[in-house]
Amino acid sequence: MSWVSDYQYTWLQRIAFQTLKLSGHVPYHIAFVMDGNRRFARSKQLDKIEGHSRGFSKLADVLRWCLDMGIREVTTFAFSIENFKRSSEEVNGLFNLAREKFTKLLAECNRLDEHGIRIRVIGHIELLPEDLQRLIATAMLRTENNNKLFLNVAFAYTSRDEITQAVESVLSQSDKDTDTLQPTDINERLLDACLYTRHSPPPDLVFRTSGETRLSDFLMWQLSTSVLYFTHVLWPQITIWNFLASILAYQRDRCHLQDYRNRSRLESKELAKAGEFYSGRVQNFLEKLDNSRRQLLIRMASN
Amino acid sequence: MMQLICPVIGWLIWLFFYLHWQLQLLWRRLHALVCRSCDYWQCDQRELFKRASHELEKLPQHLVLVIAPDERYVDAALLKNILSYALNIGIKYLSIYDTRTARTGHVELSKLCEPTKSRAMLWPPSKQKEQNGNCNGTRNGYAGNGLHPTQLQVYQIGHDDCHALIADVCRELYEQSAEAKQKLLQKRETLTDAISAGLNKRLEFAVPEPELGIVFAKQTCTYGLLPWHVRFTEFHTHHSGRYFGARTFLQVLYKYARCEQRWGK
Repeated sequence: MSWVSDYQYTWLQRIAFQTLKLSGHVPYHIAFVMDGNRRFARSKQLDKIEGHSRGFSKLADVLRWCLDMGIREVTTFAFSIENFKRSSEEVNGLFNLAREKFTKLLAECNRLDEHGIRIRVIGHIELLPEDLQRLIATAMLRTENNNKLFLNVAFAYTSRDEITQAVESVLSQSDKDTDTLQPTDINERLLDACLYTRHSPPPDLVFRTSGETRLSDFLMWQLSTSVLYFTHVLWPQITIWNFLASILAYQRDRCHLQDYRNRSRLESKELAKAGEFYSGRVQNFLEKLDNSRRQLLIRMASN
Repeated sequence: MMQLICPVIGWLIWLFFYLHWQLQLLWRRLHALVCRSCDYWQCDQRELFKRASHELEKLPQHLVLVIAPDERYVDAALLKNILSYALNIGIKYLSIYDTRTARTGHVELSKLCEPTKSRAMLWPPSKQKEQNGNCNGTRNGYAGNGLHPTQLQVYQIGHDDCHALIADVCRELYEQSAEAKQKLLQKRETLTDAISAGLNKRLEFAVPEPELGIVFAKQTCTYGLLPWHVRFTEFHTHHSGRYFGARTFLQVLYKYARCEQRWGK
């Protein structure tokens, strides 16, 4: 199963798709909480891992729909740090599935290049087994020049860990460095730029399946202006109509949020100015952060 | 051909949505009027709460209300009712995140509740508590002399308590000595605990994280509410214009009681 499926649309689906695309605003960034794989497996009397595998197949369809809809960035919640609490059998099964999928991804990189898909894995990757770290780092480095669709896979991720990591990046700055950050440089704009998602805009739409109405520690910092869409359908059972319904709901709801969004954007800009975000000192710090993250990936890939 | 047909269909969909929205709003307001009248004549809702407190298998200890910047139907009277419902059912802590400005209907809680030395406010204020003890509970069909005679701890959450507060804690940690910073950086969990402690100190929060959130808005959005604290909060959206009475409140609690929290497992 490929990372992007060859989904065949019916004529009705094609019309619905084009209608939404042409008559309303298409979200730039969608985040998916792919919940319900295990409940799906239970309902069909399948193994849990088979449920997760079907969930991945569905992700390939969803990526195809996103590509065709013109969505530029997709973030998916694949594995939470909290999921380490699950049975070792299930955790190992999930890691094996990830190994299989990332190996497949590396084998079909040309296809990803053709679609311009860049893979970014966000999360505390060091918590994962070394061979998986290597595969992930290789996939990220291999696709880093693509820029048509950004696929962020949250793996070993929680938002609390991400925020802690951002604070850690600020605190780790050595006092001996020339041009060290000043306490006045530290504000939410700087922390925002230290998150794993520092090169991504906040999600416009957060889509959660399986009827749960919580966010499970996913992108808590980033989703303050996002439309949250909850549906009862389990992730492996999601259809193109559920996807289109979420886009329609976004198009309907975004106008109510637009003022709040504009205000937040303005506040963020003012904060950046007040905190000297664009000063050489802060920009050097962020450049160093990018370099150190890339160096870490290179080290992981060469292990 | 498709380029021509699709925008026309799209235009028709939006027209339908607009009409649907207007009719729905009209229906909600009429429904609210009827419900309010019913609640007025039905004097004692103690039975309702008594039954619910027997039936509900779990209750949130901490409830948070989120009010959207363009929400027009949540006023001081409704908030007072919600505070009373929460107290009656046995919720201990209630936080209110009102994103409106004074011009657009922001409700100042200090006018409703009794301030304390800490940030927490108490509901009902002592004076009213005494009065409630003697009243026959006919205000808006709701009795304030419910099942839980204690006072409710109320917190007002502001915009500055959200992302900005995390940045403040980061700044505070950054200004520590190099040795203290090194200690924090040894293990990520230590730093997480330090951030939690710093935030709770500033929020003066000695309370559990909110387990349930009710969003009063036209759509579901967190509006940046406490990104550190609401990670496992169940959100329920109460659409703008709909009536919110004791029954609605209890329905939300029943829905919450049915939710299964798995904590990653």
